[in-house]
Amino acid sequence: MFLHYIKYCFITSLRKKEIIFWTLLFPIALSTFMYAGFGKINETTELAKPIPVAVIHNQKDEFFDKAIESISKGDKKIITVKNFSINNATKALNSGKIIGIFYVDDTISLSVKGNNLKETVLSTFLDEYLQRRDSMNFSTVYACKEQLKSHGSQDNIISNFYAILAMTCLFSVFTGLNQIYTLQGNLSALGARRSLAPVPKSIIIFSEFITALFLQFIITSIGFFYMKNILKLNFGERILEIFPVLILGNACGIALGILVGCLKFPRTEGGKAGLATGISMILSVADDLCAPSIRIMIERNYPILNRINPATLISDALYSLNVYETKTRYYTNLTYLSIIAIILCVISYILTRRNRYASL
Amino acid sequence: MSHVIEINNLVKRYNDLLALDHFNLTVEEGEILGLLGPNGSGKTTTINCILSLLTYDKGSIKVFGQEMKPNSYDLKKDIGVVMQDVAVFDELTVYENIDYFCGLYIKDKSLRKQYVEETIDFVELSDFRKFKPKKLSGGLLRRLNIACGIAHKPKLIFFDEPTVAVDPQSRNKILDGIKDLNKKGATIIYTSHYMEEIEQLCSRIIIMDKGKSIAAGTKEELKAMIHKTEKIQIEVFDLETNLLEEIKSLKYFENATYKNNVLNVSFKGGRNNLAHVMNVLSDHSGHLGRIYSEHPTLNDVFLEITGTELRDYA
Repeated sequence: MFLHYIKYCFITSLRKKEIIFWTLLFPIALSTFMYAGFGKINETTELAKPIPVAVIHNQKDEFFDKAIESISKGDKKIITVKNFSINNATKALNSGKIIGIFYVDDTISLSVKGNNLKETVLSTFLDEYLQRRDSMNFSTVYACKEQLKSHGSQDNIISNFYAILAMTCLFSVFTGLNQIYTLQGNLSALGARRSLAPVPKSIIIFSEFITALFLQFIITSIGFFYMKNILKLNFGERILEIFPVLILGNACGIALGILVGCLKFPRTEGGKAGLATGISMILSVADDLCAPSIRIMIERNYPILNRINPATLISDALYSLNVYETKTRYYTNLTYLSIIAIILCVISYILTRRNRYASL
Repeated sequence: MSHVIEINNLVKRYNDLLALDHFNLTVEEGEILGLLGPNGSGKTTTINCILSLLTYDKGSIKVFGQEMKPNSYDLKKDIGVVMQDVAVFDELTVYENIDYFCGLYIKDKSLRKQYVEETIDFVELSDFRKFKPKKLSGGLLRRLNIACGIAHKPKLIFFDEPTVAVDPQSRNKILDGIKDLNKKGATIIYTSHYMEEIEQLCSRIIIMDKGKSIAAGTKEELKAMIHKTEKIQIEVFDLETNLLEEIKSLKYFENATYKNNVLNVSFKGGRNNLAHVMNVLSDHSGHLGRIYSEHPTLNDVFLEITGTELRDYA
């Protein structure tokens, strides 16, 4: 019986073109375009050579030094650090010998002269670094025990692909929404017919949730392997640890879809789909999908929002796996993600248990 | 023996709207019960309350002698429902859809396969088993909708306006199929606002209006309730006044009008009224045109009871 539901849930989901498009093809296309865009930036003559910078230490900052070191060494180094005193560094900046000066104090600041691509790269690097560092400061769990890994990828570009993976997980809302639409008697005739079957609704919900989760996990994993193996993005060495993040992320997405489906308003399928898309996009944008620095702004002003945004938690879990030697931050993100997934699943289950309606 | 369905004093409100007003109903085993009424009369609400899809404010509903609840799985096993709206998966083929819904009721795989094949033959969809719903015509889609509701061979089947937007040929096939199911032992509840279908199909009819049962009985019993029995319409050119008076003197005569060369005569009862009228008109020197004899319809019953034509709503 259980297998019967699973079999048909699998078939209907796989044949639902909209779901396959939004959860598989769209993320693949987006990652490809993004890869092509960044590839082009990297290939421009302007960035063919490392950007000369100066780092002026008024205070010691071990993490920043390691971050600088990570992008100033190796074949694909982005910057070259020149040693100057403060005065000489300013002169060098004015004469164009260096492009920017990093001042390491209580806070880290950047001084640039122009507003071109090289300056933007330096600014983006600093923003990203501050964002990561601020995240650590806001949670005592992260503390300073975390050690930057020497073999992980710490470039800023990969963060955008974490955001795409997070968005892909959240796009499971469509699967959850579709599931609930065909299951609730007050939403569709199909739902009404299924509500009349001599089977406890919880069994159907559970079997379809498990199937949807498995399917979405496979789809997200395909997207991940596409980025890793076709686009050759460096996701680090801890590949196995990525999968629990994807599973929990998808569980959040599906449960969110079920939740939206159960809301009294909007009543139409289109309205609910619009709301689901809106929510997943807002969460993804807050995770820096479209524009950088939104996440850091949220972290500075409303840090709790980053703790409850599944997209941010997914991205940060993937980032911390790739960057830090210890897994404290990864597990913390995973814990938050699990709590959100459980809360969403429990609420969804309570809302879908109802079998009788005041009106259809 | 207990009734297949027993409803007592059912009251259902949608906010301020009283959808069912102390509605009573009994359904006997093996009958085809027709619920006839205009849109909004409470037919679908009644069915949804029986099926425990809708909450209700007052009253009781028993199915197979037991109170019907959302978790009455033993009762649900024996119930089939054909919804007014087509309720199938667009992503599944004809065969897969029937197999899926049958599988919600029948656990045994080989028995299920047998039932699915029999149902496909029954609704004559053998040539379309690999078609997806979007590729089917309106009539075929309705047949698939029916197949999904009856594949598990239920003892009690609800048909909620199953022929809406269906061409006449498919409609006849559907009605014949329902008769067949009844012959095989299924008790059927059929709702429609098409009185011709109800007349053709149902062994007993309940006429509903504004959430109430306004008349119940066989079609003959219902027609016997009303005043009018037979209407005769004859095209007569230059009818002589004395012949009209002679017609008015016939036994069971009720009313006669002659306008635009058309004579309308109605009789309260009696037999062979048409023959008697024709006998009078045999003395007529002019020509006769078309002749119609019309017995009262359920619409006349509805009209006489409510003062409104059933057709006005549809």
